[in-house]
Amino acid sequence: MNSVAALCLNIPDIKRCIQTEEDRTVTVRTLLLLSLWSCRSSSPGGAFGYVHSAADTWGVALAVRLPFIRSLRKNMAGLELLSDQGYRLDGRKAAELRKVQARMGVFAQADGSAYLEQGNTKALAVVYGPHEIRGSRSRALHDRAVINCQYSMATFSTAERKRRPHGDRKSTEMSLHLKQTFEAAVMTQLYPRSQIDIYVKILQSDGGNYSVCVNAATLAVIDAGIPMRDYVCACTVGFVDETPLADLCYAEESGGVSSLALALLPRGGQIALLQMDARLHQDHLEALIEAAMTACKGVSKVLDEVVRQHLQEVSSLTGE
Amino acid sequence: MLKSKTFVKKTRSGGVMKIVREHYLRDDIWCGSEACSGCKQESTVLQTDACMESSLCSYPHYLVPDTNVVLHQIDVLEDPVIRNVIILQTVLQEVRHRSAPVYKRLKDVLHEKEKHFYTFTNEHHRETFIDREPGESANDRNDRAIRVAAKWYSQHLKKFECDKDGLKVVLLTNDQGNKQKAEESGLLVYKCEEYIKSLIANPELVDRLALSNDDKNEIGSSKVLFPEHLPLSRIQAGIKCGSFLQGTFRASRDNYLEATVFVQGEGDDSTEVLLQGLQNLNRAVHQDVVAVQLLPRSQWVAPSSVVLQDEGAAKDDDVEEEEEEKALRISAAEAARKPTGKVVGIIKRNWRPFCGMLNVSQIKESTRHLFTPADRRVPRIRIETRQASTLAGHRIMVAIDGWPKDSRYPNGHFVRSLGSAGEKDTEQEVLLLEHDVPHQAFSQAVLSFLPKMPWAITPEDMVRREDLRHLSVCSVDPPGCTDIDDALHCRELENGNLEVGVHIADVSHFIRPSNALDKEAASRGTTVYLCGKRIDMVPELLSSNLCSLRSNVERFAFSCIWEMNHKAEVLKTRFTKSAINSKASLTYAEAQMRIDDTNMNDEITKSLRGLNKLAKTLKRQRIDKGALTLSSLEVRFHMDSETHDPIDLQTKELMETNSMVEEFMLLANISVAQKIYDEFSECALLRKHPAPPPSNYDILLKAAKSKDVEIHTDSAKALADSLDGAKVDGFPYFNTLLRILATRCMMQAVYFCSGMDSDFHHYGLASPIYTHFTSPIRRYADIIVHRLLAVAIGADSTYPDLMDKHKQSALCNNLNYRHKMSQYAQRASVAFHTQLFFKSRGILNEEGYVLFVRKNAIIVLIPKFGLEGTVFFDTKGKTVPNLVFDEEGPTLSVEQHIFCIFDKVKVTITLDDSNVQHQKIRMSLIEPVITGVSVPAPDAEPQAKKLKLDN
Repeated sequence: MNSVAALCLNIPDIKRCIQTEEDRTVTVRTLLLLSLWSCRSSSPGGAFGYVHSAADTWGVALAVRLPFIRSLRKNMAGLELLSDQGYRLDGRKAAELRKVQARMGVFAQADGSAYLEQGNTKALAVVYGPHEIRGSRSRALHDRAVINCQYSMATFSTAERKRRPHGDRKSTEMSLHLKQTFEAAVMTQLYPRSQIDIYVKILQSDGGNYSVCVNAATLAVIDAGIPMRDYVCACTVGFVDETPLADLCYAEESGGVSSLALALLPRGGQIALLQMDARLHQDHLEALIEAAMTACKGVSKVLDEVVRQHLQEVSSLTGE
Repeated sequence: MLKSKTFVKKTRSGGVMKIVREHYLRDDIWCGSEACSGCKQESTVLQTDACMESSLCSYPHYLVPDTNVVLHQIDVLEDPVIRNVIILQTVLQEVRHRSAPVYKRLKDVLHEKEKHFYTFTNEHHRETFIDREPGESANDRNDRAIRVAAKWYSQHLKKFECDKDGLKVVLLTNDQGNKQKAEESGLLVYKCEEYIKSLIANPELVDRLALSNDDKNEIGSSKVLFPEHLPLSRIQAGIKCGSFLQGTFRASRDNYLEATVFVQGEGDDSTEVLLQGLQNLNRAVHQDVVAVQLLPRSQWVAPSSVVLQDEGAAKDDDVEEEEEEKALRISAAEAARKPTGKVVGIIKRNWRPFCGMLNVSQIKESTRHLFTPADRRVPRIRIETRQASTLAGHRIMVAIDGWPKDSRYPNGHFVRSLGSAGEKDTEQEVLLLEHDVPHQAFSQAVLSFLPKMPWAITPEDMVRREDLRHLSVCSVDPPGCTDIDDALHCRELENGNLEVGVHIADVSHFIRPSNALDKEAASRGTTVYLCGKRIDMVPELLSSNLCSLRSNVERFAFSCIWEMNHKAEVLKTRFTKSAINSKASLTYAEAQMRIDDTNMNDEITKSLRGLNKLAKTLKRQRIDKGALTLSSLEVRFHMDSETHDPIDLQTKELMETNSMVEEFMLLANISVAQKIYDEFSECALLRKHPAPPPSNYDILLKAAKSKDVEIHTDSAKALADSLDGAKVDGFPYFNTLLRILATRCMMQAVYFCSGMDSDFHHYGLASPIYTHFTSPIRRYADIIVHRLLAVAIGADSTYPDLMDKHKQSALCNNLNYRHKMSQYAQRASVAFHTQLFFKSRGILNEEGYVLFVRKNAIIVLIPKFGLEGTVFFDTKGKTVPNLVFDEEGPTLSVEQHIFCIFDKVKVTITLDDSNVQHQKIRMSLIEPVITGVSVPAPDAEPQAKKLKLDN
């Protein structure tokens, strides 16, 4: 591997890849994702090539995604998402995140685990591995580890209690996104012919499920002692009244806001995943991505603190 | 970046769902007062010196109104006297929830710097947030939140005030319970009425107070006059099961005891329900959305033809009333009966402030007076005022507050005075208000988006523009026009063809999408031209200066350039943003003179001649295709330069140059329409003119037949041809009259969005596609079209709303509405000036033609003034002559004389000012002489007056 920078996209590359529609609004339907695998399989070239190959490789993923593209919803609920005084529904200012609280090592039997709360969205992440390939051995890769992700939501996670069978399309899609994100971040080439399992469960859902899962899983992977290039931090941003709003809660997400989810490797500033379902004018895209990156950096600071504190606790326990 | 915040969960359970939301409390919300030394705020809103001359509060103070005070007394709060008010977030949210119009007005007040209104986000402040206690209703909780915030403010100010001059906070509430609790907790609290009455310096504010429901001195007797309205839940249930119908209440203009409810059914099947009698109208006011219940078929009635005005003193005993109601119930033929019903409840009130005049009560000391709105469909309103004597004879505005079931009239309050009745400015204001024409001065927010002066074209501007400053462009407009939005040029090319350019002011360069300026222009929709006054759509700096293509200054333009051959066939079309420098602004007459004067051979004249020649060809081609030339008389007033009173009336003269400019504007509009439709098939803003249904032509056909002329209406072309051929010997005016009649048969042209409609045809112009491109200074539709075209040629970027066909279509609805209202306002203004004119002229005898024949009247058109008037044959208090109406003709025989359409008559014109609010031009017949009907021609007296004026 040459460098991480070769794997991840920066903003100008992304802008080149986004197709503009007749009316000069953009919809980032395609997921821009990176992984060692997609890089290898692509022809050597600029980031442009990577994205295309990613889309080709994940043709299945796209087919799954399309039905979920959210239709343009107007702000029917009539909630004032951003007041004239600059406060949001829950009293935050535009760029403020929700309160993030996290704990690592919550389960003893797993190799790594973490619990993370971002406002009212709560997630539990568990990591097993790296271990031998389970099941069919043909899935093994000779030069790196396979990452296996599974996302699920607890029946009691939303206001309406609902049975959520495994493997429904929404969670399959989410699992896929997680897998792609972590393939970009985990140094999988250190563990050829092995497998890493990441299980994430949403216990309570209040907007930004994807980002909370990524953040929780990062901590769990760190807890398992698997080397990563950097923390992967994710955050959603929405666009209201010409202002980007960081870390949307459910009320904001459902208020018809164009929102964008972004996963970032903060130190190098590389984007691991970018996803946007709604339509947005291309002029605003850059501002929105900037805001998302700032928010992700904010998350990474909190995560870093959690990791340091956890290390301190562990080391004091072991008496070092 | 994460501040430490106390974390509180707010649980809101309603129905089935339990929603949990986070609620962050902050320490960094400042109080907004200039006097405070404790808050680290950057700018302050509330002044230290917050003095209002109140006999109750002699100290400087801030006001904290509660929700009901804001909702009901917004008229008072808007007054410039009321300053330094703290609007709590709790109040703002409740107002938003309960009344959108009040919320909008409150927001406007909050934005006004001079008002010093401050919004305090108390729900997110750590010290003012309160949880709802068990058993506490949401309203009680909000009241408590308001009290807590007010308490916090008073303590906060006491603690942090720099120079101690006793700044206090006064809570305003009308709720007795709330007031008592506030007093217990040591707050300064007053009822809104108490406080406003204590403002010694401004007694006029008292009249603006709305009457609140719990007011003890309720107006009206205790007797219940009306049935109770049903609650909304029962209405909804009733509508669902079909026992009630929902519709818009439309009061009758002529009969105050009658109204119809227009019930919109599915598809085309909508019905009208007739309502008769005060009980059945049940306090509904014109334009309200109501629920009606149909009466059994046996009680159905026919609409009466009686004219009934609610006149005279206030009627509290209903003896008289009953008699009037009886007059309605003349048994009608079974066939004429219509579905009749009664109002059972009001779904949505559509009250707005009404213009009108006060009928001063006969009792001298009385403070209660009746108010008669200018719109006859609105009932009279009872208001309370102490300044009745000053308001008598003034046009005033009054808002309705409520209509209790034991009151004969709705109760209202005085909003403001517009000036004395009959004065030009006042009447103008009234007609603008009544036609819903936004005419306030532009707000600061709007003006902030204007370009900074001095303005000049910069090299950056020229990067994307074509430099056409060297061309000899000129503009041709009516005299006195300052908003010039089009200019033309024509020159010969080397290959012998002609290059013709239409240059339109580039308004969209200055008005950027979705800023306040753009929103204001979109809401105004059009510039309204009244006699002697113009209500601009965009601020004057743009309309008369930066956008106006005046001569010898450099201006931005959007140019449409064609290459044509001498047969006026378009060979090439090109659109570009450009910069031009007009060489001359001419009037139609000046341009005509240049064309006719063979001695002039400069560039501009040559270009004008070229244009004129092409225009003639274009016009012929267009007429060959079946475009209609219709006629309506337009009048021009010659105004006195000092008094602005009309001194002469003249019908507008049309010159060749008028039609020259028109031809090229039509061509530009059609070219642009085609281009934007090709580029954006879903969201192009176009204009269509539907073909009228055949039945519309009945009156025209009958009229023509009476003179043995045949008119074909199968197609626009057939109509145009037969109108051209319609001539009667010895009656040169016949053709014009016929065209005037044909104009009345037409439909209204409308804007629409191409994605929402499939019929694009413009009937009158015989063009398959049409739009408005050429007057962006005075029409908003043109601005949108400019933006679309700019995107189509890559000169500008788009924005989401431009491409959203639903938003586009909503915009079209507004534009069509504004356009219609502006036309009505224009007509009303002409009518008012005509009245002024005839007032100064005294009595006049004129010749005219019968335009329509009605059951009891003929409508006469006087070509000299373009004036239309009605001659009634059944005036009140006179014996009605023997009238026989024949619908086939249509003819009306009065005694022995028979009136047909196009008959020549002689009438005398007078101004009837017996009703100050509704002055009318009255016409009475002089010739033909019919005994008992016609009047002898008055003379002598007007002549002298006329001489004086002519000098």
